[in-house]
Amino acid sequence: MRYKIFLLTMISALFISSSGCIPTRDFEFIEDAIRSDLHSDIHLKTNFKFSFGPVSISTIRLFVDLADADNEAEMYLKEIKRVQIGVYEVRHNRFGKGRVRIPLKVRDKLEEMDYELFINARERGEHVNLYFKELNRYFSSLYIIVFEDDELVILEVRGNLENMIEKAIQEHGVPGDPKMKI
Amino acid sequence: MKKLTIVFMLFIFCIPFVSAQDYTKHPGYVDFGDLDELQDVEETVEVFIRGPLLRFVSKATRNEDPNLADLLDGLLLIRVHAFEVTPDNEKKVNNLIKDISNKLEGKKWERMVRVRKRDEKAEIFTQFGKNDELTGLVVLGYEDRDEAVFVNIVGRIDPEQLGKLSGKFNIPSLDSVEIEYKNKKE
Repeated sequence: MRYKIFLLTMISALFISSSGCIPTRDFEFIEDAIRSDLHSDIHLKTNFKFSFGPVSISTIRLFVDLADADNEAEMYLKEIKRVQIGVYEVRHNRFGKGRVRIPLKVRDKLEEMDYELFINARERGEHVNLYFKELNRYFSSLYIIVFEDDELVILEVRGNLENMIEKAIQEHGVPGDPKMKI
Repeated sequence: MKKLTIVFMLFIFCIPFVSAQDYTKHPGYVDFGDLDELQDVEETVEVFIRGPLLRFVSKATRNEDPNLADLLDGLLLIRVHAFEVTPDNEKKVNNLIKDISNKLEGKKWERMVRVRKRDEKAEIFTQFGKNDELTGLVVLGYEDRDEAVFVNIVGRIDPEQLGKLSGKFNIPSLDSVEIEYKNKKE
């Protein structure tokens, strides 16, 4: 009996740790940094926050594979190791509108984690940051933070992102490109 | 002997990696200083296109424009800062343009273009390396007292293709460098 409980505990622990259901400390830091720097008239309500690790992604891949729906999606999923996403509702009174801003300490933290800023674009009511991390001259992870008047999205994707980024550049171009489509 | 071989192999492996990554030590790189205060306005855009991303853009462009793809292959960094000019930061923007221009002149950068009008200011500097190869380019300025732009392009630059780069990344004034360079050549 004791042996069975031990085995069950070990399997559960292994599943939880490898499924990546719990957002990492870095992800929490980014969220906290934004929360702590909010304008006093703005509040965030978490709509959805989840982390997908290798086990969850393999399961999703299995379903995509079974559904035989989208080969492209399956190809990307094969190369993704982890996805963390947080979607938050932005609540504000009339004074808070247009004052959303990603604080500089987010950039400091990500740069400390070897992420490099690719785009930082801000206009009234919208602030977007996109970071990439390289490992041996290949893209190993990215962070996208989109802070708008009504919604905040924080997304982290880890894995071999070469094909995904190449495809994105081919299809959407780069900032400044008159042909760029978002 | 074995250790020496391993160290040698590591050294060889690290050369392209270090040289590709450390563009801040490249003679064409310019530190614009702290722009955070100036960028504390409603509208601002910063874009940093470095090594691997340039590789992707080059690959995506090759079929359409092989000359532009070749130019992109030689670059290490395209850095663009664009932000609103307001009555609050206008003086600081002017001072910064002046400071950076003085610094570049002191470092023997060549001034290619200078525009000083009531509502428009532009300074373009170029850095030539060995064999008269263009290795760095800086654009500083604003138009209609509306949007200021600070640009630094680092790497091996073909001046005759700069107009295309201007179109691709919407960087102002680069075509004037191309024209100036062609005039000089003739």
